[in-house]
Amino acid sequence: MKRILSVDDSASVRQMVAFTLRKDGYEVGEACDGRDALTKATQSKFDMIITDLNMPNLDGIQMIAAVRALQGYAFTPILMLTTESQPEKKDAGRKAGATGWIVKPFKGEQLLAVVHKLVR
Amino acid sequence: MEKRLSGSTSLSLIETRLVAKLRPVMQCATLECGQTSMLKARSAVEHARALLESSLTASGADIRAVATQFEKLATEVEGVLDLTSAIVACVREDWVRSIVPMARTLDAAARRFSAERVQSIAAIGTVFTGEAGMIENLLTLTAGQRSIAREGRTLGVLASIEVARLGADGRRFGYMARELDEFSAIASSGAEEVRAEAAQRRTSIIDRRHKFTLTLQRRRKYLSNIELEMSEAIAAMETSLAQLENVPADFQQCVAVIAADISSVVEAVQLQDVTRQQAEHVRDALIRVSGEIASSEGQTGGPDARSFSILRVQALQIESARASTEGWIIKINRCLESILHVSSSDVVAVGARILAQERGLSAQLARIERFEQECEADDAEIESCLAGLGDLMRIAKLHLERSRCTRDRMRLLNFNSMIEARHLGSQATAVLEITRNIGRISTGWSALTDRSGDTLEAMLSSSARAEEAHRTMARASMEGLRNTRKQSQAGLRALSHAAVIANSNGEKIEGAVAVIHNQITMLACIAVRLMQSVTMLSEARNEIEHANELTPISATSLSESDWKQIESECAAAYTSELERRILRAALFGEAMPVEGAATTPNEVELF
Repeated sequence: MKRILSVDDSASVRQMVAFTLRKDGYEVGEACDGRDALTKATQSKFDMIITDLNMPNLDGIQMIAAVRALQGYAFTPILMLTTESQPEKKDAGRKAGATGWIVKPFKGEQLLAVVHKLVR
Repeated sequence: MEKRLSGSTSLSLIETRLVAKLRPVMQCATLECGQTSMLKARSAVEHARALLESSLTASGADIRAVATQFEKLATEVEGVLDLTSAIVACVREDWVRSIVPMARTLDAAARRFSAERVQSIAAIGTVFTGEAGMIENLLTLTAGQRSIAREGRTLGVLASIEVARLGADGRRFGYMARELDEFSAIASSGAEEVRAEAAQRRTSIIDRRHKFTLTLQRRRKYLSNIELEMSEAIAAMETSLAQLENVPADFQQCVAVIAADISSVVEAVQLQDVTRQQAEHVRDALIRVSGEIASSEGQTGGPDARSFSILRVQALQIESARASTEGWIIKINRCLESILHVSSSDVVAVGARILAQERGLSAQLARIERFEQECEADDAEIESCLAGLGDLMRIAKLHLERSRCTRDRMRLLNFNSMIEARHLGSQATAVLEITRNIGRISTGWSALTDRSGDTLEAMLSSSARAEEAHRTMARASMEGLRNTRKQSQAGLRALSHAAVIANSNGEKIEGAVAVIHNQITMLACIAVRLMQSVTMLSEARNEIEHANELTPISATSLSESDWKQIESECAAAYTSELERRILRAALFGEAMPVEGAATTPNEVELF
């Protein structure tokens, strides 16, 4: 079973991401901000990370840069899931090592299609 | 020289002097008035901020409750769909279509059988009625034979007396007396045997005829019941099966509706996150504006027009957040209603319909099977009755043979007695009288024997008809119904299989639907609470607009660079394109984003 880490400071959004993915057979871990995500990614290996951009402590872009430096995460798909859609933000995300970008709100099938594509 | 001034110049001078004298007083009053307005404006901004805080706290907790409850609800709904799917998978169009023709065939076979039964029982009843008449006839004949036997015995006694009176001359006539005695004994016992058997048979026939009348009434009632019930059952079945035929397609539609509803709620929960961020940004801006108003209190310049222009932006942002919040709450409610509707729909209750169909048809089959068994019992009764008739026939036939034999002997005795009378000459008067009487009872006996023969022939023919009627009824017709019933039972195997699954899943579905309804009620309560945050957002917007109205500062005093600076300051905190578009609408008069723009899922970009 593939493991996915959902990172968002909104508990309800994390819950919806986890709900959508679990229904499709994924195992989902949750982190409430970038720092928490970094700790969890260090503790165990995830096959994919879905992260928000604007979060306290460590934002999405900073977190991606830090995760990419971790062993075993160089090629792990990292998807940004955010309300942001500015090209410069997307560019910053891409440069930090993000694999893709989805602007909230996501549709279940849309998110699953991207996850299938990136994980399988 | 006193310089005289014109009227108008003098008034203007007075005015100028008055204004000069009043200016400090007026400036002071304006400042005081401005300060009061500023205080009121700051109070309004603070109130708006407090309302926003309350709204954020309340809606944050509520949306988490919605997410948790909804996850449970979705799991239950999917469970119900899985259970329903197992039932729906059994519903195949081909066998659904075959049920009604099968039921019609069964109905026709049952009606035909029942009608034939009624006809046959009536025919056998007629046979038994005829037989009863023949038995009466037989009893009359045996009574006649017994009477002749008695006369024979009397003649035998008279012959014995005459033999004794004649002495040696009448010795040869003694044979006649013995023959008459023997005839009397044989005729009497034979007639008695037939009478006893016929009497018993008559009792039996009365009993059987009574039973057959009752059976006929029952069968007629069954026939009318089966016509009515089967017609009603088939009509109900046709309606229900027409619905059942649509079940797979309806179920697919339900699955699609539920999936769309779940997806919509997932979106709505995310939209709360969007409006939360929007409200947080408004709150932060209000704190900044309130601070600026507070720091300008007591100063002559007061807060600048920028602060109040920022308030204008916040009023639009908060209105957008309010509309969006209202939108996603309505969306959640619609989805809940839809899920409630689907979970209470006929598709989810398909198991009950299949069970009803299966039970209805099985009950009909069981009734028909019971009817077959009852008819088998009738057959046994009829067979026993026909066997009874056979016994009577055998005895009657034996008696007829004996009667014929006796008739021949009587004729011979009559002939011999005439010869003996000639030998006696003048002493033959009494003997001749006995001989004439022997001739008379011989003729009578002969007539009775012939009539007995006719009656026996009629009874044999009646018995053959009864057997034929019974054979038709018992075998051919019953076989037809039995085969149709067995074919129907075989044809209902698929429905029975579906019914087994419907039965085992039905209870679980019922329980899960009850849980779903409870969860929907709870979610609806949370949605009502969430609506309070919409009210709070409205109040916050009113307070911001009120604060704006209180300010004496005109935004027209701002330069283009001021507007650019405001845009830059506000946009720095924003995290969505929606907020930026509202900002541009507030500052530069661009079009406001259309309502619901934030609810449209966005494209995906892979790097």
